[in-house]
Amino acid sequence: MNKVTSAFIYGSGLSPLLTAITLSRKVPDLSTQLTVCLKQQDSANRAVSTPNDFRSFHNEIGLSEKIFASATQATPHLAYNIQTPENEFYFSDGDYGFVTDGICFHQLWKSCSHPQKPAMDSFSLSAQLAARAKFIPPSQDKNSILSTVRYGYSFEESLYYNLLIELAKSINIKILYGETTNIEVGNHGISKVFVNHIKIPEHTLYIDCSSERELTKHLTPNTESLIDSIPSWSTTYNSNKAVPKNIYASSIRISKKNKTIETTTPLRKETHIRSLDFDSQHSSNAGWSTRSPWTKNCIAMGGGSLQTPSIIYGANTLLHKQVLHLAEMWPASTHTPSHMKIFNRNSNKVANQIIDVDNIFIASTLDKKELLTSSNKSRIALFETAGHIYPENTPVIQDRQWPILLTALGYQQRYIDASSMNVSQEKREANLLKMYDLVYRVINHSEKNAK
Amino acid sequence: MNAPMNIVIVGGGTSGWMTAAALDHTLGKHLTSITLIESDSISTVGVGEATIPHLRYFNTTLGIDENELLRKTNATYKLGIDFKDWGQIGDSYVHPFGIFGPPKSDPGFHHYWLKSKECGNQDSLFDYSPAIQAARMGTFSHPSSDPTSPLASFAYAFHIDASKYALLLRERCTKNKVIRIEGKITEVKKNQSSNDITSVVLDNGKTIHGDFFIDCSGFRALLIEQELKAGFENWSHWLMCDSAFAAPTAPSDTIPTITTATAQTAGWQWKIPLQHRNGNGLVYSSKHLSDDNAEALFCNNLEEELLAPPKKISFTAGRRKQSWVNNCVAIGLSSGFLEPLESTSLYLIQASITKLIELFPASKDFTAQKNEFNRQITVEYERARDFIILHYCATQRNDSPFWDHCRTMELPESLKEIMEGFKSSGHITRYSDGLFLPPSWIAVCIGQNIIPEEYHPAINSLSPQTILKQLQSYKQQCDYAVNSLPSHADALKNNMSEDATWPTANLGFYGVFS
Repeated sequence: MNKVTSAFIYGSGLSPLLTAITLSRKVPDLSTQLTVCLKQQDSANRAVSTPNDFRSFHNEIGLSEKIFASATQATPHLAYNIQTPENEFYFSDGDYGFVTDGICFHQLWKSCSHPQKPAMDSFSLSAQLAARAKFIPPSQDKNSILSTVRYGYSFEESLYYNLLIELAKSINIKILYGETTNIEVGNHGISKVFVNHIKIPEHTLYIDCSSERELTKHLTPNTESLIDSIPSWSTTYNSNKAVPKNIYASSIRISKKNKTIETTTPLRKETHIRSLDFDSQHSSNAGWSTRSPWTKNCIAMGGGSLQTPSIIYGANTLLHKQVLHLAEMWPASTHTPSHMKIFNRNSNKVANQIIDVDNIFIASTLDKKELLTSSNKSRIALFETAGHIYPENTPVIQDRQWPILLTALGYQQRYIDASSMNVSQEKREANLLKMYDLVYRVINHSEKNAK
Repeated sequence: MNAPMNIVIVGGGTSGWMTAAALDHTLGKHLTSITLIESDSISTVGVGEATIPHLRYFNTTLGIDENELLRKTNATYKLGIDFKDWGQIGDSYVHPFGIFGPPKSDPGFHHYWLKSKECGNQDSLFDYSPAIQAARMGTFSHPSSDPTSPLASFAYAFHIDASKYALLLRERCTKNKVIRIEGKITEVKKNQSSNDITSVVLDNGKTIHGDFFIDCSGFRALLIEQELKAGFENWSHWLMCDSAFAAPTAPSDTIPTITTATAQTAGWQWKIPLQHRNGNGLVYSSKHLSDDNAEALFCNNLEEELLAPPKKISFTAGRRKQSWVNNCVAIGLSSGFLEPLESTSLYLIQASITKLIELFPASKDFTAQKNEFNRQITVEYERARDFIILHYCATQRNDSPFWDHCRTMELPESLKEIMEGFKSSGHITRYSDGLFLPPSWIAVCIGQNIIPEEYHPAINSLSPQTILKQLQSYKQQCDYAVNSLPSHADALKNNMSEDATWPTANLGFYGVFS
């Protein structure tokens, strides 16, 4: 058994740097034995919007919001404005209503049949602030409605990349630049790695963040094709140099006619547009997932273990979960089958949920229910029957958010759960009105202050 | 059939009355009727005298005052379970309802403790648990609401008289919607095309109709197995104990705050302290110990005067392959039984009730709810099963064929994985679905001499001396805090008085209810 004493982390963009910084912070003993090898000297000039979890991840690795926001010119991201041909909806990480008399918000909302009942997203402060291009930071006071606000960030990747490079250097992480030219494999996994034809010193653990799986493919040649749940697609990027009207909400526009999903990310002075085309005539990318990301002495992380269109969550979300999990269970040796199994199982769970979210958007776009994954089919059946959501371990999307997302995408809950019916209709309606009132008091107050 | 509105619960006992009380409380206004059929001539097994903290959440939801519970069920407080002779003969450790060391000891307090041994720390991990310290001192108080206090790092449960608990629930819910019918079921009628149960016929000739049936008939599994053939998954190759003798004895002079579980040559013996008596039982494998010898061993081990003749119970460890079939859900022993170790019986009843209420059919089509219920219950049973097996397999005992089997048996893959992970690096992955958090796994593993080969490298930068100093300081804080608590007897006396206020204790502690 080889004791794990050093790690070689390979890939391009943010993933290798985030992996190295996290391991260095969480497993400090390793900080001097981490080597990052970056395929390129810079990162793509693309804008991304992240969910609230992104901030939690930064918190875990000790990256302050102030430093991050000033270095990347990031703006708070409160919600996704999901636009379908039939509907428009603000989907946020913030709470939608709250539990009253043991009744979940979505059950309460469904159970009220008033003809002028406001839309579901009217009950989320985050969503309503986003809709009005306003931002209020969340309160720490759990009794305050302001504590229901949650936000991520919209920012440009290349600025984030530069920040991570500086951060990595400041904590003595060794950074190399170059591409692998030869990989040799032995009984214990990867034995030799050549970068630009030069052999690099041997490491005990190899972490592959490259989307081409340059290290992993020598150990696990097969990945699971997602063709049945994520049909192939092509991506185009554009930017609009005009200052966006609303910097707090990005948008996801579904066109069933064109079979496209267009995501728009506002930055401070420009808007980035990414268009995903699922028309088979134009498609070029195919989705895949590595089912054994940790094999022998090599671990595929982030984009090295999952390639999907990443409509809300993507390989970075997976990377965050994977690297924190790896740090938590840091193995004593490279031969720890139980660690591998646990890591692989948890990685697959996270990957499956990311795939499920993409899948549900794509199935809506292509209007093909048969495209839905089996877990989405069960989820939708349970939701439609009585609004239930089955609980997830290590969730990417919180259980409480599924009913909101399903409603946003037009799925209809047919029945109200039985326990909600235990509370009288009058009381339920009064509770719903109270929630609405709370959100709009804050909105009105902020509008008055703005004037 | 439309949405079920008329519910029939077959069987009383703890599971029947817990189900009736919970349905009455959460769905009573919505449902048309809740009928519970039981027969005074059928005795109940009366499982679950020792509970775990989760039951407090159930009681709180139903609005049951804890002080009333103390009075009406002759309950005592419980801070954990004392395991004797499990790893090796002469060993003893307590599985506490709480964590070791201060909260948020990233990457886990046991790693610090492991490292402190490098500079000669002789203290056991269990010396750093306020719950264990309080149990050893015979003191008790409700957990502190100050998160910085060591007394905030534990939870508590109760030892209760299960039959009195069932009576308490019965009194409450029969005041509302629940109707109790005395009688024995002689026939079950089903719809010939759907195979749904439509009614049950009683020995007095009366027919009780219902839309939805809950089988709380115990090991007989009258509806779920005898009628609906749900199938049974037998786990006796892992959990060899299949018999028990149980009997009450006179109360002890000093009432402890822990259940005692002492390993024997072919099983183990429990002692549950109540206010008015002790509950005792010997659980054993009939393949390794005859009934006569078991009864003699059981009686010989008793420390107090026997109050009633020992009662024999037989069981098979396992679970129903499907706990929800057609319009019938099995709850309690009819759904499955592991064994009394770790007091999981009432928890599994509670979990089934909670999930049933969450997924209760709101329309005639409830296939999705049924599938989801069965999926979740399977997870619950398997998690509890693995944790119980751990006690048997993590042993070094070689004094009997029973322990030889336990020590060397092939384990479920899910358990093997957890044990290997812990052995190699002290890591326990926390799961959010199912019972038992990492501190419980750590307690049993370390208590039964599974010591990780390595501690987490995240603490490499701290010297063993620095860590030892911190540990000693924490231990002093614990000792000081625990010493200031009232005795268990005083706590019981104070909290049982009619004017005692019911504490809204911290139910969410260390995630057990999250």
